[in-house]
Amino acid sequence: MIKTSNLVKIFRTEEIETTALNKVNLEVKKGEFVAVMGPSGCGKSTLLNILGLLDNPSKGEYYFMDQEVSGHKERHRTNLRKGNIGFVFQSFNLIDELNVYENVELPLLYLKMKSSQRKKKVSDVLDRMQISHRKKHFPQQLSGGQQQRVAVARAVVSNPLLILADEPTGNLDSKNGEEVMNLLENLNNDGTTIIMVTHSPAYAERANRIVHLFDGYIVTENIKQLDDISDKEISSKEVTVRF
Amino acid sequence: MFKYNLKFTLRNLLRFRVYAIINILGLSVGMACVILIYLWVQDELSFDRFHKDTEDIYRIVQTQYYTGDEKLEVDVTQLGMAKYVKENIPGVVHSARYTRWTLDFLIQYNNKSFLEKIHMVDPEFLQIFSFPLIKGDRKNVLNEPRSIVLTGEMSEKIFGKENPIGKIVTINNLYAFTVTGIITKPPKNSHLWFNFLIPITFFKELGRDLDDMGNNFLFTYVRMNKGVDIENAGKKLTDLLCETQDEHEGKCTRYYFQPLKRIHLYPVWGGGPIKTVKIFGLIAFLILVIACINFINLSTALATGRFREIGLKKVVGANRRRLIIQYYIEVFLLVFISLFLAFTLTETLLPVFNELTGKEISIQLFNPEFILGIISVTLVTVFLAGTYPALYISSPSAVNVIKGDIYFGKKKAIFREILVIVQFSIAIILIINTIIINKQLVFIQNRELGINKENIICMPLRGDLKNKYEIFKTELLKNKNILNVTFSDWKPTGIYSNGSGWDWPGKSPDLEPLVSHSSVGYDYAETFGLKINKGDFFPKRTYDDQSSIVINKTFANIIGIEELIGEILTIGDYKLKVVGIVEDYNFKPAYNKVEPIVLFIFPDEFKLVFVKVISQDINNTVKFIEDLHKEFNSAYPFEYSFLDDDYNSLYWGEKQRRKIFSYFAFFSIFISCLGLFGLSSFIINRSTKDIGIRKVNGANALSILSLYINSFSKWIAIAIIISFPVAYYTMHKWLQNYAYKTDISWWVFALAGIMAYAIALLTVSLQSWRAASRNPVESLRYE
Repeated sequence: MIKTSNLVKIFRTEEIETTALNKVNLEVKKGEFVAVMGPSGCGKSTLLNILGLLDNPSKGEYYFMDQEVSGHKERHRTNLRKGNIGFVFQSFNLIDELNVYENVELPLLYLKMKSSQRKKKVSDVLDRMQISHRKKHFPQQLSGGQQQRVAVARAVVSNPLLILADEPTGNLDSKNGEEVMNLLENLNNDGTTIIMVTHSPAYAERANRIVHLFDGYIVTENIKQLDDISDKEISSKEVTVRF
Repeated sequence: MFKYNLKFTLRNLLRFRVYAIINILGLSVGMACVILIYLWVQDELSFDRFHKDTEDIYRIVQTQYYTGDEKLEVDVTQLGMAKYVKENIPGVVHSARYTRWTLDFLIQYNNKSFLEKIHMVDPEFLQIFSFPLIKGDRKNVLNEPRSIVLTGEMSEKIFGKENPIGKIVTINNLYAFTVTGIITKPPKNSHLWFNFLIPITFFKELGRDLDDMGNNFLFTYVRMNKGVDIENAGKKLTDLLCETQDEHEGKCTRYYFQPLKRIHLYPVWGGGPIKTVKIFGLIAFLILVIACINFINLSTALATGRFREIGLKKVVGANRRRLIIQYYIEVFLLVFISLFLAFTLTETLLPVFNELTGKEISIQLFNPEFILGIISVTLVTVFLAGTYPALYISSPSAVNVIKGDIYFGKKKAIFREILVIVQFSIAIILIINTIIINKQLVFIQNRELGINKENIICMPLRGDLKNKYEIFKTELLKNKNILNVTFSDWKPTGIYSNGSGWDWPGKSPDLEPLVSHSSVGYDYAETFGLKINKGDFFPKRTYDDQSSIVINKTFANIIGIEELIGEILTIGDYKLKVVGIVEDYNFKPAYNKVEPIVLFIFPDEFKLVFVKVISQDINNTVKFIEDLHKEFNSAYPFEYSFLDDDYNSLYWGEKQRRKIFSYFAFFSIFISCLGLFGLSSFIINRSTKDIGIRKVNGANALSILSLYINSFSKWIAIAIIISFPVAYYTMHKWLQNYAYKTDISWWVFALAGIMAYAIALLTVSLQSWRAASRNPVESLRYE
């Protein structure tokens, strides 16, 4: 479903050039649950942004649903993103002027869905997230956990092929974090592909795979933790990960 | 989607309600000003358009040439012109005359007398113009020489509820006229006005030759066939009349056809309402620009709080085009709310506005032109106010928003500052212009005219008084409160009869000045305080002295004879001896330089009595004059005015324009301050943490206050520097319309600059002080 080939992302300001991603090769199959881990500044969010078609790589190739999209303009990326990719953020990123129902409905508006269809989908997903009873409330009136449930609802309402979650439990206590992880697991069990960035090894363990990033490289995957990698392995520029 | 946008906009407005109110208020006031000016302009442009086939109606006007480059644009023609043009110019379907001056006539019916103004016209007048007839057939209602047509209002005044058709009224105790029709009173947007119409053949009864092609004194209108080449028609008329008239410097008087639609807006002598239409139109546009700048500034400042929302919408699938459309919808809703408020404000201000402009304007919601105008204003406002914020708000990329990496950039802040500077520049220019317009008006009104107009009562000389004027004068002078009595055909501050053809010994054939003239009493100079330069003012002191003239210094200089006293000047068959020269004085409103004038004694021409009184006990003096008038002239009501009031009323139009200008300058400053208030409020609120940190590190409230005041002061200073030369240039150009001008003094600019600065300072200081006085802990906690 997703394949990157020697993906590079360089950020340039007037004085500094930062390589956020360095020849990243990653493949994610349909229905997988992949966790991405790594220290702060290692390029996790950058990778997620490129995978989510929010940004373009500087070099390399990115195949999304068998389509090479690395050079696409914003307009094309938006069209591809619509209905195919859902996002869940650490800080929820709900719109304060919209109530729960309207926040969840938002992606469907841009898909030009009919009103009756939208109503059904939103109601279904709110029931699934067990937040229907709060549908007329505004984000400021909800707890952190409830807000994240709404964010997850918004991410899934259009039945996307892929969900990208950037530290979805980062601002939640353990109870709420656990709830959100359960939601994501259930979605994955229903067939949704999920790529999740997390700092929590415990939550990462719930994924099928764990990908470790370090200084823009994918250094290891799945069972190996970062601490176990030898200096020799870190110093090599290309470390291909075994599946 | 629209319902969603509507809900979202309303909630957004509630969330930022203070700024929303500022935006709506600014836009409402701006749009109200625009609507008022639009209504005024629409009224001005609508003059005379209600007639059928307006484009086929013309008035015959002329350009007369005099010495050198001197020329005179004249809108009146000869008595014989209507017949002449119909007989000689192909394409003329109807032609008609209309007497433009409005003498009073005594109309009597059933022992009741009414002093009214009567206009004389040709029967074809009602074939050319579409004034609706309530009773009577327009084709023949004025065919009979002694027929009279009156308005419905006059019919009710004279005949009450009776049907007036067929009734007979007497004019001036002498002439019986039969009422043959009732006509609708001309609307206010007609350059033609009348209460009574009688056939112009009445002139014949008064001894005039209806085919006379001599003096120009009335309007001549024609209705042409469609498709006539009007330029050629004018050329043909000029060529034909050139054969029979005098040339000046090889040039014949040029006759041409002025379209009806242009008569009100473009008087032939230049100037006219069209200038005011253009100026007011510009002011309306500038005020709208100021209001839109407010909107842009505040919206872009508030946009920083909306980037997260915009970024998210992009993440979930909105493209930039969609977001721009969404924003335009928001702007449209805001503008719509403002428009509604603007209408309310306009309705409230209309009575005052009508009083200022002398109009009867109302909002005509179902008038297609008005609707089109409002739609245009709305769309222009949406476009002006919404485009930049729409582009700005939709600009950040989704990924930058998600990362929290929004760099607002110095450029965007500088753009906002530029907008504030533009706003204040416009406002300062308007203030300077208002002060100078006021200054010019005061200058003109108070300018030494060379004549004394204080404490002089002016009355019409008519009826029995015309034959007993000398005895009337003698009786008046018996009252010790009355100092002088004299007579004339014009008020000394408005003499409009003139002509050429004066001759004198040694006159160059190329020299053909246009000379004004007035019939006066021999005591005219002492009544009005005219200063004698040479000779004497009609030394014979008798009304029979009809072979003497007094001229002014300007005419004496033109003639160029050293010893002019005793010289004979000729005009036509008249040989007149110069007995005196007076110093120049302004006998017209002070827009133009003093022209040459000749004064003579022709009692038959006297139309006005002037009574100079002492300033004390004026009421009793007026009562005395009134009682005496009743004795001498009981058939006519006693009407009088004070000459200085009459003079000041000449400038009524100027005064009204000055007031309107002042109000609009005030509105522009108000809107600018509103914008500055909103923007400064937003900037200061965003700096709460900054203020807290400064205070924690030792800054006091005063130093925080000066920090903000310095930054706003910079903007005002730049606005002042930009506006001064622009204001100077515009006023310098405007003052070229006046022969006598006030100075563009330095203090005007200083005053305007200080006013603008003081107002801006007040606006910003209040909020700055509040923020600066806050407990630093609260500022940091707030953040």
